[in-house]
Amino acid sequence: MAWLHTWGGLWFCWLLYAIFLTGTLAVMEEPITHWMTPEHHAEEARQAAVVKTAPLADRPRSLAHAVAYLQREQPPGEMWEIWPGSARHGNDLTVYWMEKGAYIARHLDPLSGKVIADPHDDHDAGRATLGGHHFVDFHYTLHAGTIGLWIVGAATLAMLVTLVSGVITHKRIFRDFFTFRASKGQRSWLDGHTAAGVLSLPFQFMIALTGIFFYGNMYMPAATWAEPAMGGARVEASSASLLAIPDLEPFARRGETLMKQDLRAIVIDKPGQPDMRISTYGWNDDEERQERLVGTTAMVSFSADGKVLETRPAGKMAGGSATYAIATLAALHMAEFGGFTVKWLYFIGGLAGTAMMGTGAILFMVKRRGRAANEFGRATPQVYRLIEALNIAAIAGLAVASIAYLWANRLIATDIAHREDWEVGVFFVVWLMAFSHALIRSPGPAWREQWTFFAFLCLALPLVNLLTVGDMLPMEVVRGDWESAGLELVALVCGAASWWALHRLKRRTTASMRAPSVRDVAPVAGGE
Amino acid sequence: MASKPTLSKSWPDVALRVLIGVIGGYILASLLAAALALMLTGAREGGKWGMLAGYPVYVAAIVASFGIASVRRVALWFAGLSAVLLSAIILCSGALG
Repeated sequence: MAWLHTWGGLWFCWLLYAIFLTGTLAVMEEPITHWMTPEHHAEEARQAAVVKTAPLADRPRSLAHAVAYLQREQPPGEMWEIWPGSARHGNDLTVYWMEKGAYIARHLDPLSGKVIADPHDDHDAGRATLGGHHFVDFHYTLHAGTIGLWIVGAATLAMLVTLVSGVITHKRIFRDFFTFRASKGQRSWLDGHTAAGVLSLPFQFMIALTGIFFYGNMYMPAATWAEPAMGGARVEASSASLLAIPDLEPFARRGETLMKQDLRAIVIDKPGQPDMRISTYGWNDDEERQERLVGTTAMVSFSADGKVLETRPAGKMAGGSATYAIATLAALHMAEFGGFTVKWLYFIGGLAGTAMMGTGAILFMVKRRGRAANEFGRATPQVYRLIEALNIAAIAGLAVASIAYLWANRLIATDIAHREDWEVGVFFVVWLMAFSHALIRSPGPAWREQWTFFAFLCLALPLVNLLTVGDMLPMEVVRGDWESAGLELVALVCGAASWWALHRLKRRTTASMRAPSVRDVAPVAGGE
Repeated sequence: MASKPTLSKSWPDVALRVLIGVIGGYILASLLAAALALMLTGAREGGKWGMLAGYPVYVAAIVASFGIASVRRVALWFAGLSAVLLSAIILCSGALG
């Protein structure tokens, strides 16, 4: 079992470290995106003011405009969707329909019914960027589409196997959790690895298992293939004898009464067909969103003549308990409940998991620096060298690349084409350069140099922000922009922690050079 | 008293365990998922329960392939469990017509 834990863990640890770290950063996708779009801060404030003061179009007129547009411009298809807006949630009128499998949207003026530009498309207002979504994309697809999904799935399975085998291997798991022997070389790394692992063990099991279920049917389609076919034959939309779309306002009012929520959207399935279905969907307010694990809103479905076909309270799912279980597991993975408290807990849990993987990777080489195990025969020194370089690139290099991504956001010109691709390109190029640096330099200097660079990039980030955008941390705090301030504060803490660790390591290395007979001087990461 | 058998660390042994665990485990988990899909039809959402149950079984199968002392015993266990699940699938398919 120890063999499975060691080798199953090692070959996937670099990829898993990257997936876990970017997943941890993805929890804070919104604050990262907010910081990376400084031009939008003023625009967001302006739009919030516009929404509050704009004349409110009455809903019956909005709905009538929407239906008229859809009937005029779109042939009856599978579905029409109308978001009529409200004083509380924004005075926009948007219609959607499906066209060749794609979801198409049009924004209409709620007063005149004419097509207008997307009122939230403030592309011209600032720099093009993926923002925090880069970390989300990397986390579950490695920016590699379906192939990336499969690789991440395989890595997640390896993580689960490694977790189980790790628990089985560490028989004194709970006693070991309270054991930490500092400055003892290999024992310290083992204690750190165990402590980080046990501290976040339930979180890691949960996050890995829930993550794999997102694409569970794709990885293991046997259940879907075996399931007996459901439902009747598909009825194609017929253009002959179409039913008129009824006035939607009575449906909206009845829906709001039954849902006990404000109206968010009306969906018309099979518009104009004899089996046309009109469904109303509600809004979850912020408190409901925080309290419920599954964030579905209330829904009521009517037939064209107004008979209630189906109701769904807020937080429930259409379907049975398995559907609800899957939605709950997805919500657990995405941390879409509990507000920023839960996001911070996930952030800390994610960092603990990342630390567990990093310490495990380092422990593998720390054990073998003193005494090679010759697992690879004559090629063992070369393989060990490669593993050292991969450790440095995956741990320190990825950290450098992540902070370099934020630097790129401020330094790349705002008006170049495909700007968001340039930012992601900087991330990967810096990461690749870190790997090359780790291959060229010996491990000790490589660790120190990369962490020094990371510390510099983190500590200088607020200065770059000031010089490029003219914003600074105290100003962000004063105006209550805690998303931007939080990001810069975390960067400063990370930079300071790296600087302190490097300083301590330098002092200890200097002290051990002056006293070479110190017992138990075991190699540590960064040692030569 | 006979000593407890220890796992062989020879490469063929390890490679076989990896193969049986990864491939055999996937087959075992898929068979279980399919069996559940056929047993819990309609509103009981057997397909979804099958998918949910498949992954823990897959993980357990890989771990078990390294927990059982001999490779032969690993293979026999996997084959036996797969045969049971396959029989269940055939029976359910027949029952469903």
